[in-house]
Amino acid sequence: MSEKDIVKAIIDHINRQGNNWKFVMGREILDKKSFLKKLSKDKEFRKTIVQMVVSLSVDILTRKGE
Amino acid sequence: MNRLNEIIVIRPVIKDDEVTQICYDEAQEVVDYAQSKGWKVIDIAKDDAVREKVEQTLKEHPKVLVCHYNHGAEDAWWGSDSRKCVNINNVEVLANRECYAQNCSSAKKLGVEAWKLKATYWGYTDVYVFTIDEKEYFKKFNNYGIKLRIDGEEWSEALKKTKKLAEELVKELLDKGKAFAAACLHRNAEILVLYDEEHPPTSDCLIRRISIKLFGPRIGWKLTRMFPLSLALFFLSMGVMLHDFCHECWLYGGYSEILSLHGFYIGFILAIVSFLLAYYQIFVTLKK
Repeated sequence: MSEKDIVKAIIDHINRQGNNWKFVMGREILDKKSFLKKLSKDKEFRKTIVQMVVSLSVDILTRKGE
Repeated sequence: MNRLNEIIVIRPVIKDDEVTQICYDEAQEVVDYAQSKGWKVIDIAKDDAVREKVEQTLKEHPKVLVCHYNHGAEDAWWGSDSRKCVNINNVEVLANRECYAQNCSSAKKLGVEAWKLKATYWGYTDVYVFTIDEKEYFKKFNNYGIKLRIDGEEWSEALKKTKKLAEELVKELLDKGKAFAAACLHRNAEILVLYDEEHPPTSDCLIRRISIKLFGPRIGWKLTRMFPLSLALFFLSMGVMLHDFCHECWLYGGYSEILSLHGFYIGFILAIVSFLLAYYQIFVTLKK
């Protein structure tokens, strides 16, 4: 699965969230629209978000006996 | 380490900053919990949470457990007037104290500096992330460690239990279909660290890691870039001198001249031995 596929999955997931959905990263508050915009424009931000999702996925896959 | 049954809670609120209000509300739960357990709470809230007031309170209450709920930076805790209320310049107010930093990134630099001053530091090494729709889950995670401490738990045990709680909360969020919030909480658990005697800070810097390995964390973290630089320059200059001397000997009488006993060699060896002895003395003094 490429980064592009992961980003697409994230976009689909965020689009399914309610309208009051907001993401906070430090001082920055992003609603759905601004989050998706930043995800497509900001390479560093995209990298962080993809890393977060991959890290959780790896953790789930490597958990033992659960 | 801390004076038991006392806690200082710093929770600034900045106008038009929703995050600071959320942090303030989260800290309210800690205030209520501590009071319900009979703890004395020194609450530095909203506009009161400015540098002068924070410094003064911390100086008047040495060794009292302190919490900060607001924005942070690698080297600072922010106050209510958009100034740093604690940073590297006044880090001594955190000395010999238990610190619970519920803010972004401050474990990266400020936490290390506080740890050097014998503080116990709980905090994050990177930017904290969350989604507002699931803020109750994040609040539970954020306050769990300090509540355990108020209940008398050791910090290292509190950290283990908090990371375990994070796993459970992540599962719950995944079951709810909130995978992105789960990823945020998982990241926060990953960047959460504790620095104390048993858990010294780690470093990405190779030289620092070597220093820690060689001299232990207390000395390893005190050494600056000047230390490896001075060592490198010393041995480089000795190498240049030795090479130059041997070259002159070779020009004068070939290899046999190089291998003859010269006063230079004795001086050279004495210089290295005295250099190593001097450094050894410095390390022994630092260790004390």
